Amino acid sequence: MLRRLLLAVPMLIGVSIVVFFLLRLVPGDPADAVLGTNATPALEAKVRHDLGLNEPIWVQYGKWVAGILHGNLGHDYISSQAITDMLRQRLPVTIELAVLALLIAVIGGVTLGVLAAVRQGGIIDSFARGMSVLGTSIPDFGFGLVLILGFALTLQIFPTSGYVPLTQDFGQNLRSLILPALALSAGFGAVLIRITRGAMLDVLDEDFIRFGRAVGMSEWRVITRHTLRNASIPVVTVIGLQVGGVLGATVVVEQVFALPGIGALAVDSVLNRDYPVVQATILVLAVMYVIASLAADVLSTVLNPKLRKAVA
Amino acid sequence: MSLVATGQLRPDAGPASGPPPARRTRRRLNPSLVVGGGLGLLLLLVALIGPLVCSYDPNAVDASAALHGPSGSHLLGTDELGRDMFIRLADGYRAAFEIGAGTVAFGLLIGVPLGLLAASAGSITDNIIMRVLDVLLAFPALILAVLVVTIIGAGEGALILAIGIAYTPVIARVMRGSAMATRRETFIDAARSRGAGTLRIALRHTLPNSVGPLIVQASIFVGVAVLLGAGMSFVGLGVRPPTPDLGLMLASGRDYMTTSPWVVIVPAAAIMLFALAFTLLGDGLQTWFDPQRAR
Repeated sequence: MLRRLLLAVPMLIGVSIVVFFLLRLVPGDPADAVLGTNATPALEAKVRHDLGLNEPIWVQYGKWVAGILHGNLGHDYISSQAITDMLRQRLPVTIELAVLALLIAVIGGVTLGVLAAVRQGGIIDSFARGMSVLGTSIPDFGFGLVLILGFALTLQIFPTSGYVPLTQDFGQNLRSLILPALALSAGFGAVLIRITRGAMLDVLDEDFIRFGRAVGMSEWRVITRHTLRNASIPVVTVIGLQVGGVLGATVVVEQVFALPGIGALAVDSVLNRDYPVVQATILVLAVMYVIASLAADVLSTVLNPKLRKAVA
Repeated sequence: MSLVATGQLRPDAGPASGPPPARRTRRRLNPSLVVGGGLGLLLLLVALIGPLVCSYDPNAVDASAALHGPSGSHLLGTDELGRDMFIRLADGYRAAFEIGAGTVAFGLLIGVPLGLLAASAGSITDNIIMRVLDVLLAFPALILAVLVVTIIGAGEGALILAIGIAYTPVIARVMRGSAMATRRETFIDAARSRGAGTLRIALRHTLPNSVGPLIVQASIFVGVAVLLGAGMSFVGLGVRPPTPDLGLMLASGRDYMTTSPWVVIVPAAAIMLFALAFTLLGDGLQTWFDPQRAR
């Protein structure tokens, strides 16, 4: 397990290098982006100096990383607000949305997957497989718009957009996030149905299950204690991988529901050519994904004694 | 060369562990393959023939015909500028096919050689390639695509490049995994013992016998790329207006969806049908190449 944690370090360094150096490939001078139409050679030289752009690129990278480690991600070009403050406001929105979406996807997807496998070939199985194909195909933002049309505009049960912080009002907070989370969860729930069903069927084929049934173990016990436990390993791995997709999709879904999260910030900053913010948001989203994958790996080793032994 | 032609796809399907030949399931058409392939062909026909049979100009603004519902003259209604939705849909599908095919072609062009090289060239090369790909895979695909668009700007070509780059690491990984499995087969040993070089084994023996999973993945990626691309166009980081694009149609339609729901439902359903076709096709191909796994 320690080895996995250590492997995450070069990964994070790699991610920071990619983010930093790729954004240096953007054509044009960052100083121009700051000054806009006010640029004069003298002002430009001053801004270049202030931003540290005259230093060698490795020194700039080192300073950037040192800043991050001290919780300083630099300043927004446009409003010169500290990026750390912007992230502090927006991170809870995205995390809450992603967690809620994953929760819906996991509960719905795993339940349907298990039921489908237990009654393979039955009505629930057909339904689950249909849902899985539909869920994979539906565009999250299109689904979001249809949800707004149905539940917010026509039935008026949920708000069409906007966000109420968790600290302000729990009920309203949940109401503002339920439609976006549903939109976000469709695709991932669909994948989980499929993976869970497949994993369950694989385990149900094993000799130890046949043996359990032969010695008169109740079907409930066979499914919950022996099949589910063993089938959960690939499912957990896939959930870890899914976090990346969910985080990526927040970029689009937050726009649909006008949620002030990291994804929306990423899009706005790209459209405004506000590169320090682009850099920070992309880094944060990638780091969140690395952490989530790590958590999934750790959980798999806990669930699977064989892996535990192999790592030790 | 009859050994090569068996093209086994399961790494564990060697002579000892595999079922006896008599029980081996034959490859046959399956419902997913037929429905997915048929739907894909139908959409391709809409994209190709739609503009020929429909006399409207996709960009002709006609304020007097704005937001008309589906009718005899406008099969799928009109949008907020009075443009015919069907012809825009047909053009949107053409763009979708370009984006889907373009991204997958890019991904295969870069990813296949990388994966094959990683599988064939020895552990140092393998490690270097895979660690670099691991770092790219640490980015959610859409985020990587956003990063690329930031650098090269928006537009259909940029979108193809962005999504193509985002999926190259995945394709390289699939290629490597599949090639590694093939390299354990006896016919590779046979070729080696006949004195075939690394390059010849990689290109003539490993590659042709490892393409099954790749074709499955490519089909699924066509659908995924179009979903992703539509999402990026929707938020303004993809195809630029006035080019007809399914994601853009949704973005411009959202303000009118209360009174004219078809401006949202038509493009949303169109994207879904496209992704559905390629998801089913991918499923069907998987069953086709690996009948043992299907159930």
